[in-house]
Amino acid sequence: MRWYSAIFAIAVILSTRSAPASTVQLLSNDDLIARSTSIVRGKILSESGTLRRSTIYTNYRLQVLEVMKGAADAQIDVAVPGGVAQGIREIVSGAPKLQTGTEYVLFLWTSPSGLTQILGLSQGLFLSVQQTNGTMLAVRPGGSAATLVDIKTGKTSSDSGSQMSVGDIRKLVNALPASPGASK
Amino acid sequence: MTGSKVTSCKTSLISRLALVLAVVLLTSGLASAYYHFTYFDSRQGFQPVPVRFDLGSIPGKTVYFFVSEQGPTKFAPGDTFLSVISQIRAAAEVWNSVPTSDLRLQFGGITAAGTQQFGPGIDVQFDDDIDPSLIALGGIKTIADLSYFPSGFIPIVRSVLRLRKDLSTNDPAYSDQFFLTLVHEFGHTLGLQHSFTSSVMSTQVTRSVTKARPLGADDIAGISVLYGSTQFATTTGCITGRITYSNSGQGVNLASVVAITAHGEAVSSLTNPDGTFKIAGLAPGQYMLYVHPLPPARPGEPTPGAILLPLDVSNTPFGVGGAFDTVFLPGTRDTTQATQVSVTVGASTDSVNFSVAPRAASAVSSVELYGYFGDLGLKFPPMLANNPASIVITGQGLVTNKQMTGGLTVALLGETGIYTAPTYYAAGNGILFAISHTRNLGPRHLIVSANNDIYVLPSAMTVVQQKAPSVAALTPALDDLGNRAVIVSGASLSAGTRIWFDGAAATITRVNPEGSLLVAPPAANGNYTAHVVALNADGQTSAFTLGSAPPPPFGYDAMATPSVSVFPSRVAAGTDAMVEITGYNTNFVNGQTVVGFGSSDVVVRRQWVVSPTRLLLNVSVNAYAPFTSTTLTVASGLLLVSQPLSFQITPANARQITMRAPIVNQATGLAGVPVGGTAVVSVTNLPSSAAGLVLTVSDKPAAVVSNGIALTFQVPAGVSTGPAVVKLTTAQGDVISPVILQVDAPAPNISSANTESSGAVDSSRPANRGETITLIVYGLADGNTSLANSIVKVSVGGTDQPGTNVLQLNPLGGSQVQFVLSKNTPQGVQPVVLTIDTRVSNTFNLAVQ
Repeated sequence: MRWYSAIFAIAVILSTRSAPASTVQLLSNDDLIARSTSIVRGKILSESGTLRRSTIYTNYRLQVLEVMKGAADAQIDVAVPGGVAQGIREIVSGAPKLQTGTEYVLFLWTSPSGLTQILGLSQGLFLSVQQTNGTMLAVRPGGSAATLVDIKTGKTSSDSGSQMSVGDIRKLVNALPASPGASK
Repeated sequence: MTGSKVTSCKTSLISRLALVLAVVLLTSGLASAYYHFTYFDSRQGFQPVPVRFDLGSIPGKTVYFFVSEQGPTKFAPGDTFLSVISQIRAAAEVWNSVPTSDLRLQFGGITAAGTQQFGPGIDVQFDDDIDPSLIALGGIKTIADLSYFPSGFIPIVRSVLRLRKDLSTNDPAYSDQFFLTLVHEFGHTLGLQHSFTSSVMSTQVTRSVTKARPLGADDIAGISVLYGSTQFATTTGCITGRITYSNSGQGVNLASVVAITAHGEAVSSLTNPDGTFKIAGLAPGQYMLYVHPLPPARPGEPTPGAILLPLDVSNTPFGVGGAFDTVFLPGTRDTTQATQVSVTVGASTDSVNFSVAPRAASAVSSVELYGYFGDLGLKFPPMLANNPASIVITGQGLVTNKQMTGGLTVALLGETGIYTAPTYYAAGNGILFAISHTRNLGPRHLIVSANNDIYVLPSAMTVVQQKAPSVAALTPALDDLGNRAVIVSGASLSAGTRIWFDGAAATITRVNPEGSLLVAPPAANGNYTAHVVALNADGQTSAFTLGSAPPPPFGYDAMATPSVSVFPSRVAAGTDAMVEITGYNTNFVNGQTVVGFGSSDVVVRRQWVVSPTRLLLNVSVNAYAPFTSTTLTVASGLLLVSQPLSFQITPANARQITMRAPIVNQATGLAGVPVGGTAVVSVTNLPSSAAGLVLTVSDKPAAVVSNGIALTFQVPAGVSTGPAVVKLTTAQGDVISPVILQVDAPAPNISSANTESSGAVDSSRPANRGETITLIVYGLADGNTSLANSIVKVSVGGTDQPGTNVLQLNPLGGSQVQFVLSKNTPQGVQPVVLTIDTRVSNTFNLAVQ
């Protein structure tokens, strides 16, 4: 049994795999913070279907309660692919459904044409939960506790990505390197 | 198994994935079971209502897909819009390879933005609005009003496959991953949801199919359940039953029930809200069954496995049942104690019921398996038979506090004594074990046991006979006829290897003694650069040996820019018409050339490649098509000519007289008539009297008889075989749009039947069922149609015989056609009829004992 070869080979797997080729890339919390154009905490006020070019989106009107990254008006629209518009229903596998009246922490991405969406389908969607000590948490709906291990450093994190404190998000946003024209 | 009964088929996720791989592989969910977008019209008596295309109303049961002219703005290194389109076309073609499915996908060409269309179809779009973390999206559109369920399904009115406009961060188009992503997304557009049996409809976490063998048995079953052909019913059986919780007796919704054999692929299904299930599409045989809960939702998944939950008519979802112990029938985690369920063709094995014990969560989930291949690691790797292998698995529940979870064991279903005890593998935060050898070829299924639960990963690896193919060099050459060819050199290449230049297959013309292949490359535009890969039937591809290196490129010569002209360039909505396409600097090849009109409202009924520069087509234009101009696209291999605004749909005229394609043979009902044969053409708005109507075939007059809805005429003598123009002029002198009639050579004649054991078959020496029969047939080839591009079918007693093989064509015109006489053939004299394309032979009486 060529154990050495095996270990070498597996090391190759873990170090040389290229970017994923699948429907959705899994984003770490750091990815979510870095790649989002804005991060807000807000409450869903209403939803409506809209046809944009040939794609149907569900537009969620959001009452913005807090802006952690980027800029946002008091109310913004967040589009999720799929929904009902002009008598047609579009079903998109993996698209989340938000609940009116519920508070979320949303990692958002605004396209060059101005459409604001949740980053990574459901990945940028967290429930906003206030702890008894008043701390605000961003909790991933349906997430489970897990340990993440960084491939390069081997370091583990007890924070599985299923939840973050809003305070930590702010700190991480502030720690982002400044880029020309970007607002934290 | 006890308590089951047979009836007619008709009645019947480590610690979450170690970030090691999470960062690197990251995909949405995993899965096991074919599943559809499903509605239920009642919360009682759950009968699933799937969402699918209505093939009954789609001409030729062919769904067109269209590629937006607004293509990607950035590409992965080496890619072009043409190379991306070639892979899109190849990925769609995969779904055409399912013999038990009637659905056919066809390239409808390049579509201009804003083209108004009425008919159903699939739009492939490149979208700036897709966020950078998404690779592709597949969606389906239906009428929103679901207050009724027509015919037991919800029709798809349009589907969409979206890719980002910026493809520079994607895997290159030639990669196995990009291709499989496209196949997967096409699956969504056809009505398939994620599956959990390592098939292409599984997410990439557990997807173990390859570019060489892109569909798993589960995918084939899933698409066939939606679009099943008659062959589906006559070659497969099904298993039904119910999954209930042991503590309450209540049914479990969305439990995944899997039918599996030790060395075969898994087929599965998800349970209905009341716990009932039906696994269809199973080949006859003995199966083990196991049931497992859906894996917990991974980050980014709104539901477990990113399954769109089944809905009722008010769009209220039926929730996922709680977790339970994964068990094999009859309720055991010990696979050696699993009972077998028998499946027979055309029948349903019923009442295969499981009782499962609820638990808080599955002990193990989202397992991925890695092996090494030379210096390269591969997920779900091939394993050389009779060779040792080392394996690493990762996944949720395998590792606890940087140690292997206590009591964890691994096994391969149906194998004992060939693997070592697992150990913790720190470098990958996974589990390491070794396999000493494997014998039988085919898939192997991993079973992980931990914390009084098991996890099954179907097709975790595949045992193969030889190493993966490789393409080491491409050498320009000439074939025996002096045509441009390429010598493909490498390893593990054979006549059965498929050589792809980007998404188009080359034709292998010779296997050289040293093992290289002489191939005719597919046609391509001038200066095109194609990446060349080899695909073997055992599922291995040349990408296995490349790692992140690109496949070798092949550069085509410069050539004048190809273009086409079309006549007529305007066809009215609601009419059929002959269309002639003339190519300039083109090389149309029969069987490789596709014409698309950029609209699902223009259907190509049939096309004839008359020469490398001339095509004839019969087209039908949807009566409800809006007045619009479309883009004409002609594709042949990798060559693609696209001309915007070159075809126009003009407004419909309710009183327009139009002949309907195809013109059929009155005797056979098929779209081909020999000289002297009687042809029937349906005519819309046909005058009540045939008086004054003038019909010609290749400008030769033919007397017509009208029955008020169709004209009957005899194909005049002197008309050549092949496409013939049929023109109709009314008594008022109005010239109706001509259509093409396929004029066939005379019907083939079966002269005798022989068997290897007893020679000629007759009443004194009848054929045996299961025996290979050789028919001696005269006139099989018509001198006009290439036998290689024709489909020869033999039916005995009205039943098609699979595996028909044309052995040879001798100088006297006689051919040997072999088939294996079905074991289900009744005894006595049975009528044998051979069909080649639209030509039907005489009836030969075959004595069967």
